[in-house]
Amino acid sequence: MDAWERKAIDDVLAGDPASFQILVRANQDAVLSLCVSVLRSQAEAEDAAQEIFLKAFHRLRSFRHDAAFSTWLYRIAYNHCLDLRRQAHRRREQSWEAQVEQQGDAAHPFDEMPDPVLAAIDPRLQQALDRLPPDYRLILILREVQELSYDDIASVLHTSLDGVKARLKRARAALQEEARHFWQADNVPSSGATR
Amino acid sequence: MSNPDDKNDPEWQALARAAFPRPALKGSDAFVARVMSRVQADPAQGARFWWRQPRWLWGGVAVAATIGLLWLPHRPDTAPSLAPGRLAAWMTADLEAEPEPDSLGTSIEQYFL
Repeated sequence: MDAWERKAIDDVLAGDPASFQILVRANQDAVLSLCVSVLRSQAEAEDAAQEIFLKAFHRLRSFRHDAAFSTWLYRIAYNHCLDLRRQAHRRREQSWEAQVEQQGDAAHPFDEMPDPVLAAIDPRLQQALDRLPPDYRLILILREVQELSYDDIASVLHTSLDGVKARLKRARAALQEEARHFWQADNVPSSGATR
Repeated sequence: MSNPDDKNDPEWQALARAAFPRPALKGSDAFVARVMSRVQADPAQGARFWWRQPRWLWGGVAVAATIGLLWLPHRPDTAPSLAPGRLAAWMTADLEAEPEPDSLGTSIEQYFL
């Protein structure tokens, strides 16, 4: 952990809440990007990120300096996003059932989500992602978007390295299985891809 | 940090790139200001005090009040009533004395028994 980060945490705990803005500024991009990847709505992501920082502020006394602050923050963000995702999933199932009841076959599952973030993703891939369990999606986002190492993911999820590897393997296999009907071999670049 | 089991798999990499595009949303001074205004509005550190836990506290109060209201009509006659006249009468009552018969010649207790 960097010295400035430790100092900011100590200052906040000593009664100077204004020092918390140093931590917000340093981590806002990562938290916002995690939230927008999970929630796929910029407005919701901003609200969620604010809540995550507030939770972190109120729980700062429970932060132990054995891990990076960002890893600890990711853990809060992961749990918060997982809760929001589950709530959204339940709400969408209920409204989807109501929509099917009213419109029959004309109902479309994405009519209610006109967010620009979705425009970047193939609609069939969106459906495949929506069918994944929320924790599979989140671990893939931690790995593919946030580019966390396996060790960091293990810290975020409070699990072992082998647990992370196994869960990532299952999540990847689940997405590949969901996408196999439309994801053709010609989508794969001929040379080895690097990100 | 790269791991051979996913970063060197071009098929997976192509799928991951399509499924998880990098979001363009970035932080800003305005975002920091919004967070900090909420922090300054509620700067208490550590666990929140019990009276600042509205969900379980006020939920518990509502449940207790409901149980109390439901129980009130069924309370034993020996228990004091909170009505001012009845509470005073209960406190000063001579427990050894025989119950006063009412106009029908029987006490209310006997009627219910």
